[in-house]
Amino acid sequence: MKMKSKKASTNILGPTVIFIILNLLFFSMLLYFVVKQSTGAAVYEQLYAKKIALLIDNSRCNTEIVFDVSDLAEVLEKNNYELSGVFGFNDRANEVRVQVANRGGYAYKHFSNCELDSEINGNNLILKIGGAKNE
Amino acid sequence: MNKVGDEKVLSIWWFFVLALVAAGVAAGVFMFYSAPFDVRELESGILVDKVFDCMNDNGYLRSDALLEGFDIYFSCNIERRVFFEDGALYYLSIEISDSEDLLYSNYSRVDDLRKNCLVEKSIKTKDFPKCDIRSEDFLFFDEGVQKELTVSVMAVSNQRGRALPLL
Repeated sequence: MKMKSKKASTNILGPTVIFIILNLLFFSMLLYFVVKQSTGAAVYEQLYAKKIALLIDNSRCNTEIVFDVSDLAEVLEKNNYELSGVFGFNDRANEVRVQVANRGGYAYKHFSNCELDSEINGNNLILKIGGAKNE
Repeated sequence: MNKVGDEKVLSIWWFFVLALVAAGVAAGVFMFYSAPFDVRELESGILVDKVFDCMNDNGYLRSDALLEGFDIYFSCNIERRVFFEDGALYYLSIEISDSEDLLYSNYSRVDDLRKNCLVEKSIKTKDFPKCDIRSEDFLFFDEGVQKELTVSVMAVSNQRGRALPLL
């Protein structure tokens, strides 16, 4: 008699535990997806391309700007990428390009006519806005 | 009562609900994060500031502003090409006038941007270009006589940026 009741309680508990585990698994996957999207490459690419383009637009020629990019460096470290090569300038199109992963990236135009160059120093992007192109 | 059958129906229903929730959350997240950060208004403001900053010489209008051949783009370190290329996303106009006459004017190529932006001023819509229109008074010496001139600048941006192809 005792053996029988123990078996019955296991029968009830088993599916309930599996059901709870499956639900927890589902909601943690959902949470992971949301977090992954919010800290994803695409968001940072767009954010930094626009920030840098606006900085360039708002600066005079022959200016050097030190720009803290440590939050981006953190994301890159997780994905085994490095900050060098992430930022670029396309002179022909007057664009700032930010490429966090190996493929794709985001480009944003600026209207400044100054020579542009950049350098990475630790977690800082050093934006070198040089002399006017037409001088 | 068929209890096992009821539980099966409930679990199928439950997984349908979960799939629905997942689809809703995924759609919401994609919509939220794929929406571009709109900085067009800021950009127009920066362009107007840049022009005023360049025209200003200690409260006076820069001395070469009314000379023949004065090029606002060259003088203010603004890239002319992005205002005059096909499908330009920027528009800039500048007018310098005294109380009677228009003394200098320069308009960039895409007049549609200006027109659409003026429409946007009265009808709020996110698809139309954003602009900044401002006027400032400057002092100016003309043949030893001090005059007061008005500089009006209109800058329009319709740039949304672009994702680069995955190649």
